[in-house]
Order: sequence, then C-alpha cells, then structure tokens
Amino acid sequence: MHEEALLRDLVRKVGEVAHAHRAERVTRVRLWVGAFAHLSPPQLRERWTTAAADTPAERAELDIEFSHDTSDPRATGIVLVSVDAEPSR
Amino acid sequence: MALPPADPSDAPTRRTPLVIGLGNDDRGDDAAGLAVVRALGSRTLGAARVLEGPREATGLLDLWTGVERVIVVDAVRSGRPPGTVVRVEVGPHGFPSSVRPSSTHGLSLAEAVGLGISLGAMPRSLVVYGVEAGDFAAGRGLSGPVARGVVEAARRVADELAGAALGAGEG
Amino acid sequence: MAERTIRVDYLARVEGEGALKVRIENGRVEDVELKIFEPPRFFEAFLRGRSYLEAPDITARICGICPVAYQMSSAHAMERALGMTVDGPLRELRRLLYCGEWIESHALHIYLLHAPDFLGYPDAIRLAKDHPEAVAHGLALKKAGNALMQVLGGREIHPINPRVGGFYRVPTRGELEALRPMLSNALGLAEETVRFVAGLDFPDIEEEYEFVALQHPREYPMNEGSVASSRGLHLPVTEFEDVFEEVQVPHSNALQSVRRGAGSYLVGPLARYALNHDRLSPRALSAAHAAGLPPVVRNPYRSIVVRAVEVVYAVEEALRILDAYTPPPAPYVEPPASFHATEGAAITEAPRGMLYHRYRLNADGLIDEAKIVAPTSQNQKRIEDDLRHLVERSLDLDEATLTDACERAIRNHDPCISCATHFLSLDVERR
Repeated sequence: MHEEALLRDLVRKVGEVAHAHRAERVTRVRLWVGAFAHLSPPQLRERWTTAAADTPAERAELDIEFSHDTSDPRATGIVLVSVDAEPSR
Repeated sequence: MALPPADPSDAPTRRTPLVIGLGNDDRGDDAAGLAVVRALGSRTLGAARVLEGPREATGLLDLWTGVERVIVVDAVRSGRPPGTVVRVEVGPHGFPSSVRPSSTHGLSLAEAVGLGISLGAMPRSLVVYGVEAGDFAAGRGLSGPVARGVVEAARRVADELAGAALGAGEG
Repeated sequence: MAERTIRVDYLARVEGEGALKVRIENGRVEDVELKIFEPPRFFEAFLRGRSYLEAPDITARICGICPVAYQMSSAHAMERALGMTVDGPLRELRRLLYCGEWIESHALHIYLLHAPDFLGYPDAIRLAKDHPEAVAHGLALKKAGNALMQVLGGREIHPINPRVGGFYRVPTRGELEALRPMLSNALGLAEETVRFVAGLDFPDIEEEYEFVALQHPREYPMNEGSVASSRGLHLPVTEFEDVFEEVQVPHSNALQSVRRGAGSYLVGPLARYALNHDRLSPRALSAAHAAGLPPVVRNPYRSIVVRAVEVVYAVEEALRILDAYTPPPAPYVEPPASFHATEGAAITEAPRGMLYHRYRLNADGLIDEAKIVAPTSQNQKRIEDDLRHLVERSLDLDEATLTDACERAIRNHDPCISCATHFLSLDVERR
C-alpha cells in the first residue's frame, strides 16, 4: 500500500475536522495502526512529520496504537481515532 | 466493422427501460450504484429491467446498445459532500466535466460512454445518477451519508421511471 | 477555552493510485521505486476464520479483471488440502471457464489499454474515433470471453458458480453448443488480432528476463502444472515458498516477490510462451509463426503479440472442449465429511501470470492462515528493472514524456497496474 498517500489523506482529514470545529490549533492526534499496515513506529512518525508539515496538524502530538489483531477487518489500515483541538474564541 | 445490429426480435426488450447499477461491494462507497438497484428492485414493479454490473464498464455497451432508455447508477467523485445525488443526462458529447464517474477497477463509466459514442453503441437516452462517494477503503460497507444518498437516489430513479420528477437537471 | 477531544474514527483511504519514484545522480539512475495498491493483503486477513468453502467466492472479489483466477487458485488449493481429485468433464469445464477469462482480459488489455500506445493515442476512446473497427473487434472478442464466463460463472459481476470440488451447477450440452457460433467467429477475430498487432512498430529493446510459469506435460498451462523457469528451475507448487519469497522493500511497505538468491523474475504471457510454446494449439502456433515470433520473446513491447496468440489458443481450446463435452454425473466432487487440520497450495495461470494461494485449515474446516501471491507483486520488481533501463535510455526526456513512456512500459506487463497507472505520479529527483 501507499503509505504516503494514506498519511496525506489522514492529515487532510485532520484539517477538515479542525475546520469543521473551528479549531485554532490541533494539539493531539490519535491513530490506530492495523497489524498489517507494515509500518514501524519510526517510519510512521517520520512520514507523518512530512505529511503534516505546514498544516494545522503540524505541531500536534502523535499518539499511536499499534494493533496486533490480525483478524480485524481494518488490519491493513490506519484509523484516525480522534483529534484534540483548541477552539478559537 | 461496426457492432452487430441489435436483434429485431428483442424489440420489446429494447423498449423496456433498463436500470444498471455499477460498483464494487468490497470497496466501501464504490458499492453505491449496486445498493441503489438493490433498493430499487421491488419498486419498479416490472416497469423496468434492473441489473447489477457488469464487472467491467465496457460490458455496458453490450447491455445498452439499441435500448431506448437507460439509467445507470454509479458512485462519483466530484468534490460535493458524500451522499449528494446528482442526475446527469448524457448527451452526444458524453459527460459534462462537472461529474466524473469513478471506478476502482477497469475502465470507468465515462470511458464506456466515450467508446460507445465513438462506436455508435449507445442507448437512445442515457441518464446517469451519481452518488457522491466518500470512502473507497477496501472491505468497508457504505458510509452513513452515502447510505442516505442511496435511499434518495433509489426514490428518484423510481419516480423518474414512474414518469414523475422529470426535468430536473442536476441537484 | 478548553481543549477538547473530537472523536473521528476515520479509516485512511487507499485508492488505486500508482506512484513511481526515480532518483538520478550525476546522470545515473540510482533508484527506481514503483508503488501500487495491493488488495490481496486485506483479503488475507479477511479470510481468517471463514469456512474453506467460502474462499473461492470471497477471493473472486479481489480483482474485477480476473475473478476466475482467484476462484480457481483457491478451489484447487482447498482440494489439495482435502485430498480431493477433480477430473474428467469438471476439469475440462474449469479450463473452459479459464479460456473465457483469458479471452476477455487479453482482449481488454490488447485493444483498450495497450494498442493506443502503439498507434499514438492517449486512450481507447481517441483510438475508437479514428479506428472504430479495431476497437469493435476487441469488444466483440471480449464479449465472446464474457459469454463463456456467463454460462459457467453463473452471475456476471463475480462468477459465483464454481466451487470447491467443481461447480454448483454444470451447463447442459445445449447451453455450451449455443456458444459455438460466437466462438467460431471469435477464432477469426483472434487470428486477425494477431495480424493487426504483429504489424505495429516495436521499440527495439530486449531484456534479460528470468521467465517463470507453470509447465504441464501436455497442455499450455492454465489450472495445473509444476513451476518452471527459463534458468532451469523445476519444482512442484508445494515448494513455491521455499524458492520464492515476498520481501519488504526498503522505504516502502509493499511486498515484492523475488527468487531467493536470484532476484526479480517475470510471470505472464511472455513467460508462459517461452516455457510452453510447443504446447500451443495448431492455429495458435501458425499465427505465432506468421507473426514472426521467435520461440522466446524478450522484447516486452511484443507481449501484445504473445497475448494475441494466447487469445487464438484460448478460443481454439474452448472449441475443442465444446466438441468433447459430455456433462459429468455430478456437478461437484463431494468434500470429505470430516477432516483434520491440513494445508494446501495451488498455482493457476491468471491472464497476467501465476497466482499462488496457500491455505491452512483447522479441524473445523475454518481458515487459519491464507497466503496469496498475486502476479502483480511477482512482476513488480521486474517491472522496476524494465523502468530503470528505460529511464537510463531516456535521461534527456522531459518529465511528461518520461511519465508516458513509463506508463507504457508498465502496460507491457499488467492490465491491473495499468488501470492504477492512469494516475501514475512520477517523482524524479535529480542531483
């Protein structure tokens, strides 16, 4: 699979969520990574940093849960679980 | 060589409106077209032939050539909110650029229409209902907004077949 | 204002987009990396815990272009796991179904994806405007293949009629006989296709491929055979994973299949033809001769001719099976009533090359492990090699022209990646 595209898609989604909630700043992003996503934590962080540069997600802390459940139907995927945001006044 | 002319013995078949749903059940919202024809199945009450498929869009040419009235339902990607239903009349020049059917496999509906126009293998009238897709992820069902769009599209197709609600361009 | 957590629960979207990354340093190509979407990975996870009987129906949905290949490899693998033998008319019917898929997939590849490249059109639609007769030929051939798949496949979208042990229902003689006029016509179209593609202009390129395909003592391979390579390898299907492995590619999470200790190899029409051309039917052989094909074709662009020869073969083979058909006494071989934990593997020849399936079953007949090696992942590394050579020859091209040339080189091998590469994003890094 094409992990750069996946992460760009997630970053785009974070931007959408932030916009929809009129957030000024995204402080934390939680991801769930399927057992077959074939991405190591350092790979994932590195790619995220590249994909998130110059976006509202740029300075967000990244919480990553790596799943070991190989029977999960999302096992090849990456899920954006939640976004912590500071709304603007 | 042109495509063989339609068999004159199936004239009644050619006069019956044909509704075709396209998509892939295993690619999330790409299944929208299939879901619409499934929802439609019992509502047409014999007023139309309702089909799923074909697997690959050029197969449409065999299904629709010479048929008077065809409605195709497919997932589209046009930047509108997911679940939005659009109705497009496909004219002699193919699709307007505002709506681009998408496909996760093979050639798309737009390419089938392009080929059909070049080869003279088109139905007399072709209307496409597009359901705006959100998520094409493998192995997921329809997303919520798209499932609602499917219900709306099925209702509008049924109305159109019943002769009502014509005239709307898009919306 | 306080910070808050917004639940999203959104699965990252994967689309069939392809990406090609090329790194050039001081006028030398240092790295070529092709990325494509790989649906089988998802299905391997999805199959776990499902009944062995479900595998053919589930895996048929992996590819819209070659559902039969997935059904056949999975059904054969299950039959080997359970010690079942499927022969006689049932075996012939499977071969007939496979002929339908070869005809359909090859006709699509030749006329709608590949021919526009040779004739200078961006796509089949533009080709059809100037050469409607050629495209109509292709569609008529495709329709013949499709008709076979409909009679044997039950339902057109994904053929659901085949099953472990045979078919849910087998056709009558009359149902098959009804296909004869269409197939007879298709034989002429197929021979004309060979003449048409043989007359195209081919770039003068040869590659040093290790060809890998099934080999069968009597038949041009579809459902059965042992694994053979042009470098002298010969092994039973059960040893496939001892000799070939899927490796993680650096800087990518895609898996590529390589021969252990040797590297890339090529599956598909060029490989089948190189290893089996003497088992082609008479008319397919004479079409190959007339087209000037040598026994081994190393020019990837001429794969279009080999594909056309295989269409002649598939139509002729379908007619042979039609002639000899007598319906079997039962539509399928009964699987054993009870069984123990077991394992089975099979390879069949999808139109674009070998498709490997292996399943481990538990004592309840549920799938504990599924392994699928698609032709795409087997050819991926070899396609990268083709692309590296192409880029080395084309360093002076501008990027749009280079992208077209790369897409075209990919279309030599794989209709599925070809679809993906309508959206090929080329990223050239020059230093």
